[in-house]
Parts: sequence; C-alpha cells; structure tokens
Amino acid sequence: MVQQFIPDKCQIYLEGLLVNRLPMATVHEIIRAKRTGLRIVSAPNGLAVDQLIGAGMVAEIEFYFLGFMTEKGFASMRRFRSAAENGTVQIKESMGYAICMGLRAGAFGIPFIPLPDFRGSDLLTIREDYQVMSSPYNPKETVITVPALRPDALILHAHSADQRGNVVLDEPWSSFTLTTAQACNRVLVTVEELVEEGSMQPNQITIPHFLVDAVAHTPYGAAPTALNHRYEIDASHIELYQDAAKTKEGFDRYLEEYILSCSNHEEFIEKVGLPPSWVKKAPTQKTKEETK
Amino acid sequence: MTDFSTDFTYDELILTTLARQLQDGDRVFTGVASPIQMMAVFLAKATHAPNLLYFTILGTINPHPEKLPFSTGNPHLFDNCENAITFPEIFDLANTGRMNVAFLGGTQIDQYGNLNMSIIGKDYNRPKVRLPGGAGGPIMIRSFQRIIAWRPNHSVKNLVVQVPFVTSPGWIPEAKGTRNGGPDTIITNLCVFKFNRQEESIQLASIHPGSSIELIKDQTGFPFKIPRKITTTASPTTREKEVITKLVDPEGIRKLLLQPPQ
Repeated sequence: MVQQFIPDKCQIYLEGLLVNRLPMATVHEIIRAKRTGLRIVSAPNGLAVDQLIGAGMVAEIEFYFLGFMTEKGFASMRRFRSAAENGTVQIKESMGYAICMGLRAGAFGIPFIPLPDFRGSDLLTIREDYQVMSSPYNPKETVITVPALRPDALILHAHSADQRGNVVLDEPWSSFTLTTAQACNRVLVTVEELVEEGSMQPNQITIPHFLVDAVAHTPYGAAPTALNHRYEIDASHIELYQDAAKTKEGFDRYLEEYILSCSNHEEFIEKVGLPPSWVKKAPTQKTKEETK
Repeated sequence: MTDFSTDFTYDELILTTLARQLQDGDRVFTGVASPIQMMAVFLAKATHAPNLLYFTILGTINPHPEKLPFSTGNPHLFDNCENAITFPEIFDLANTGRMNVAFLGGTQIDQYGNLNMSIIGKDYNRPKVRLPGGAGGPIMIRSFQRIIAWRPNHSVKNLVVQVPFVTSPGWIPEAKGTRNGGPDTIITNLCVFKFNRQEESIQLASIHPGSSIELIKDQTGFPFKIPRKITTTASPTTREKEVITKLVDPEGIRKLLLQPPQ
C-alpha cells in the first residue's frame, strides 16, 4: 500500500483524534519504507506525527493541536517540539475549523472557503494564505478565506471493509470521514477485519468503494491507540514511548526496537502484546437526575 | 438551605467550582485535553443542570461513558450517547448560535483575554518552547457566548501582561461593539477571576480556601481589581461531593490530575 501510493514528498492527511484510532500501522509502514520530505496535514494526532517527525520523514507539518492527556497529565510531543524549536521542520500552524473547512472545500471541488472573522489571532500573521475579505454581498461583513485542502493521500484505520473496498467506521464521527475521503486524491485504509462483499447494509458504509484505492487487513492497526468497540488504549506502551521520545537517543532506540526491527504490524503487536480488550459493562442504573 | 460540606478535598472544590459556572439548559462544549472540564460537566448535569446538553470533541451529545477516560478523545465518549454530530459541526452550531458555552484554555492568558497555545519565546520560528497549538480556540473564543478557562498552576509565567503570540484573540480593537473574544471566567488552583468584556477589566471573584490575596498577587502577572470585600470560593455541598465520588468518578482518576497546590 505504502510502496505503491506514498512517494517521497507526498502530502498526507492523518485521520484519528488524540488517542482514538490513529493509523499507527500505516505510519510505521511509511517509516520502514523510509519515505522522506513528507508534507503532513493532521487532525489532533500527536503520537503519529511525533513518530514520523522523529524518524526524519517530515518536511512540513500542518496541524492545530498535537498532544493528549494521560494519567500522568499532558503528554507533550517531544520530537515535534524539538523539530519546531530547532527549525528543522516547516511549521504550518492552523486551527481545527480552518483545516476542516479546507477539507470541505476540497471535497466540494471549490478553490477556497470563507470562515467567520477571527481577526486578532496571530495565525493571520504567520499564514499568508489566510486572507481577510469583505463579503461580496454585504461589505460590512468580514470573512477570512482559507484555501481548499486536497492532500495526495488519506490514511485511515477503520473497523471493516468488504472485498470491493467499501469501508465501515463503527463510530458516529464517520460522516466527516467521508468528506475527508472526498477531499483526498487517494484513500488508503487499514481495517480490523475483511468481510464478504454484500454483507454490509448500504447505509452502514462510511466510504464507498469507488473512493477507496487500497485496503490492507491489519488487526490492531490503531494500537497503541484505541478503536471504538474493539480495544482500549495501551497506556503502558504509550508511556514507554513518551519516556523514550524525551531525547533523540531514546527515540532512536524506540525506532529500532519497535518499528524498524518489526517487518510488519503483526510483529509489533507480538512484541508489545495485545492491547487491552474493550471495556463494556452492563448498563448502569441511571440516577434520578439523569432520567429527568 | 444549602448543605455546604466542611470536609472536602482540593479536587472536589475545583470540580464543583467549574461545574457551578454552568447553568441548566446550557449547551456546553469541552475540547482537547480536558478531562477535568468533562468531569465538571458530568457533575453539573447530575446536580443543578439536568437539562444541559454536553457536546464532546468526538461529536457525541450527552454520552454516558462506561469507563471514565483521561483523554477527551477516548472512544468511550461515544458510549451510550443521545445523539452524535461531527467535529466541524460543533463549530457550525456555535457559529449559528445553537451552542453557547465552551471550556477553552490557554497555556498563557493575558490582561486582554488573549490565549497563547503556540509558542513561548520571542521568535515564532525558533521558539524557546513549542506549545501544542490552539485547537479550535481561535474561532471558538468569539463564536461561543460564554468561555470558561481552567488554568491549573497559577503563576506569573502563565497569567501574563501580554502573550508573545495570540493564538485565540481576546478583546481586540477590530471587534469593538461586536461580540468580543476572551474568557469570561478563569478558574485557577488559587482563585476565580471574572473578565468583564465591556469594561475590559479583570476582577478577582473569589479566593479558594487555603489560598491568600498575597499569594495571588505574588503569582499573577496581569493587573486585576480586588473587590473591597473578598469572598471565599464556596465549598462543595454534601450532595456534590457524593455525586463526584459515587457517580462521576468513582475510581478517583481526578486525583491523579488535580493535585493540591504545595
């Protein structure tokens, strides 16, 4: 999948959020394929971005939040920070709505899209591509335009796909994932399971097959992050990574041990152990206030 | 008659103080890295604000997680939700007035209500510290009607006269006469500040038990008004304590994230 569709300098959109279904298997595959000069556009996907930057794959990172909470407090992304503080990666700082609206514009087939006024933010001083404009319909109204985002490839981990490439994401977020898939030129998906063609109801399908370029059957493909209904965060492995990534030397040891020395994600999972099983309790009794 | 508890812990005081900023019927959003704010919303909903609608960053509305997570991106925030939308739709709804309250933080907050989540240092391209980024803040800070900030580690380093980089704008000249940005309330580990957007001033609203006006003055970089009569932040009630320990967070994960000031 990576060999065929991710060349050097590719612009990649990374799906996932904080600790939910980051496409870690594909990220490791990209690192093993030694792709360089990548331009990453990312959801709040700190762990994946940190590993790609630490491994030296990234020329440019467009983002709006990198980091997440753990039981130790806020996990700061140390390889990202080091690269930003030393000026070794091109920083394109953005904000959540601007990236989502850019993807919407990409999906809609229009060159740019206006956002409500957010003058006063210094993002306007560092992002020359964000333009302050008067509305053509009411000059008193100010909007800020952002360019369409049309990344070369979407990388996504999902629950299942059928043999034709129809993809199902078993979580309510899925309608925006379809927009994202429409914005990107290629859609590359790893899935927990492959199912028979015809076994999906049409209204279950998140991304239809004609938008999908490649599917790879990759159990635990989001680990050490979580996947709804399937497995929990592997908190101890994430902590191990965070400790390692504090220094370049520590990161390089992690890279060798857990990414480069594994030939695929199955070997990574063998090495770190299966992620904790999904916690599902019997429905708890609601309190009086909650049922009002 | 409200039954204020005389025996409470720091974490209970903070959750209660955050929860009391919310009103019944509010439509509330919490963002990235906000487990404390999330617990405060659950507390408010289970006590004085049963009709509150809680929108998580995962787009779920009024979830009942089967396992209380540390990260607000944990998929357990999909569990047993009433409805679901997507991340950009949260902004869409705020832009059109369908949501009204957001918890929004900043590593640094200044006297104009500007939030900095980008860099510490003088040179943006070679910062001393690269911060995580402003998430949804730059636009949310003006599209929501009320902004509440939780700022642990009250210090001159994070409550400053002027931030080096405005990620999310506070009171700016361009916005005079319109809905202005900035937080309305900042709750720290020492006190509660209220921001008055019309007067563009910050007032000390209450002091947490165990804190003092001298300590707050010493640890605050921005100027603020001190009322003639200084009030103490109200204690949790017995009911609030019970809801926190039995319903919201029976495993006590809040205690790992909320450690009392030394």
